[in-house]
Amino acid sequence: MIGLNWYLAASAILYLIGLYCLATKRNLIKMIIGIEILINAAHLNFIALSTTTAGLDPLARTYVIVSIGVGAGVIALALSLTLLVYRHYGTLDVRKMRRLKW
Amino acid sequence: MLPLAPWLCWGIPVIGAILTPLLAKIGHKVRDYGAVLFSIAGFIFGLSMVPDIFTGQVVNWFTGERLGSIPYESKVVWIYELGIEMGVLVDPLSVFMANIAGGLGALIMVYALGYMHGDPDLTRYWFFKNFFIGGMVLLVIANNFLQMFIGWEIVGLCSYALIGFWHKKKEPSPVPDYKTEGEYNAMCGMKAFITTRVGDVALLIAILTIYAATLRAGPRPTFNFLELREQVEWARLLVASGLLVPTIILLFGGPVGKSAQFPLHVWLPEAMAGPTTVSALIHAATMVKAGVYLVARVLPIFVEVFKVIDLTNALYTFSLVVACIGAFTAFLAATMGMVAREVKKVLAYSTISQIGYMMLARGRGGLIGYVAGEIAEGYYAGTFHLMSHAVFKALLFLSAGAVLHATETKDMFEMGGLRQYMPITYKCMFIGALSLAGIPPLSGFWSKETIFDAAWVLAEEAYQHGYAFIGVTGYILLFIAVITAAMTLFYSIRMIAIIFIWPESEYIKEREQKGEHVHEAPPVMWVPLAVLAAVSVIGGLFAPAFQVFMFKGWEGIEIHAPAEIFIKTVASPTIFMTLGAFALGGIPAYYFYWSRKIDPGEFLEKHGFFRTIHSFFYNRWYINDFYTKVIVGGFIKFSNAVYKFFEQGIVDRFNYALAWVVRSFSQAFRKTHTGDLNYNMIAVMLGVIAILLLLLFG
Repeated sequence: MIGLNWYLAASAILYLIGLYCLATKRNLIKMIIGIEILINAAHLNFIALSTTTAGLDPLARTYVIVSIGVGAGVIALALSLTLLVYRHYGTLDVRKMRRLKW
Repeated sequence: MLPLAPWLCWGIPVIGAILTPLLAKIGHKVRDYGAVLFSIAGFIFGLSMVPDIFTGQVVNWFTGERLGSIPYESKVVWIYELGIEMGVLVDPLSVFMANIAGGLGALIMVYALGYMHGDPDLTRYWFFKNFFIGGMVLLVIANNFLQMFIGWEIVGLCSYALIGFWHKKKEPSPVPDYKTEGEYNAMCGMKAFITTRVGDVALLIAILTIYAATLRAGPRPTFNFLELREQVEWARLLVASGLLVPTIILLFGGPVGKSAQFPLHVWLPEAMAGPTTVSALIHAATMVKAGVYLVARVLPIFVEVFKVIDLTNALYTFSLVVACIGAFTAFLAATMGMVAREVKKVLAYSTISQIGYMMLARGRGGLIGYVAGEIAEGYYAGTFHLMSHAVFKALLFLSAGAVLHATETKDMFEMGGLRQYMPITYKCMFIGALSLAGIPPLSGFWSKETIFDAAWVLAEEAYQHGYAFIGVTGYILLFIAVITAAMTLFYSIRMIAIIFIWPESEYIKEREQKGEHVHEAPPVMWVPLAVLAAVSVIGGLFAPAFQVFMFKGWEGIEIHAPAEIFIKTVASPTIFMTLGAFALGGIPAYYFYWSRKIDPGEFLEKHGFFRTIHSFFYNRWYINDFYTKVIVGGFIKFSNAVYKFFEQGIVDRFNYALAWVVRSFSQAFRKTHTGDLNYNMIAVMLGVIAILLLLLFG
């Protein structure tokens, strides 16, 4: 059986990948994919920590399923915003969108 | 009584007030007649309590169940330990006042159907009018100070709202300080509200002081009138802490404000800016009597309590203050009334003056209580005058309303010659004016004579018991009262003569040419007038029954037979003074105004002395100007100083400094805000690494 630490390590790696993606990519859609990786890192962590020798805690599983559902909604919203941003600016490069800067 | 009468007699008008906006959705006729019906229904419940007072037993008419004897209390206790309760008290005074308020209220509502017909804001009018009637009856029928104070404030609010009722009027203002008449009306309402508030605060302090005393001294805290009368510990505690006299003087502050007594009398003349029906009900017949009612309510409590703890000096001080303020106000207002130009102002001054009489009678009652141990004489006199005044003053105001309605001017000197156009109004107003002046056999004569008689009795008793100072005071007060009676006759004749007898003014003639004829009031308006006039004529006949009524439940009061009362009044030593006063006031008034043998204007031209006095009276003894300059002006100056030195100097500066600090701080950090998402994410990453390192090695 694979130990808990492996899961946590996988989760940490996923998390770093997500952050790396967010830090280096300029395309908005790629950044959204990065966010999704980050979320899944959190899910994995959650599930891993809730697993004991007695089995899987159903409450944690429920939360994660709900979170996946909500995450899908969030992604949909983010993509729709991306679409509007593209129509507005004609580009998806985040460095060119500085209008929010004070 | 009808079931639950003491609750419903004020509950129904309040419910009616709340329903008025709903009824207005159905239709205007429904709203108007509905509002009137609610006030009449409330009055019927109030009236049903009268037989119970006469029999002394409170009986439910429907079930025949005997509920108790007078004084009868019905209450809902909310927090027993704190003495907070809601209750009604059925005793002669409360039933009497409730019927004055409810009965005149209903009558004036009927009159208002005609007077206010077609006004665009009638929903607001009916709402506040019914709310006022409910609040007023609540005030007088409450069994504790707290609930009474709630009613007290309700009527204050309604008074304010109804004085400024015509706040949208666009005509030019009668005084130059404001742009439109509506603005002026609103300011008048505010003046009334703020001036009475001064007294109300004093009253509230006194009520809470008494409550706090019962809280500390036991046996249990209470606001209840009957319990305050039974318990005396609170008074002992107040005496011990030296607060008793200040408390009861502050308690009198409420009546001084609400009943427009000196030094807070300045608001009532301005209150005449409201519709005449409002002036008649609120500022003549009922609300301004709330103060007289309160004094009547607390006086027996004080007499009882002070007798038990043997502290009659406090009673003496209280009564003397009440009597002196009453007498001075009566005189002060009468002098102003003699020179006023507007018909409603004359009536307002006479209201202040007559309430002064009532206060005077109450104070004398207390003083007699001090020297001879019983207050019945002055107590009865004040209450009887309250009744007759409520009737004839409502009559005078409603007649004045009919005149104003027909001529559309407030100035008496723009009227004249109305006798031929408005014969019914003329007769009714004439009866009212004579009753006000105290001409026999009208009701005003009997009540005023009783007051004079009470003063005479006070002086006699005081000498008998060896109180020379009170005796002299009694004679001085009597003298002032008689002089005031002379002035009352003077201004009554002046008012009637100028409005009805003098030749038509240019203004009336102009209106006639324009085709706007002066017309008699419609029946819905003159029928209430006729009812009130009839009551004024036969009012004196009620005196014996009224005495039986008022002293029900009192111990040790001898009730005089009708014939005895008649002889006592007619053959009293003061009758000669009254006749002298009639001569003193009536003869000059007849020559100046009725027969016009001497022209008043020319007379003033010739005699510089009288001209000075005239302008002194006309400017209201400069008291109003003094308040405007010193109190209002002083307050504005104070506010400006606070604005300049505190608001601008300290508060604003602090805010600017705060803003400066924050702005410079953020300027320094501005460079880190690149707006580039990738940099931000790198920062997040560095943060994560830092946390990890902390977790690993920290």
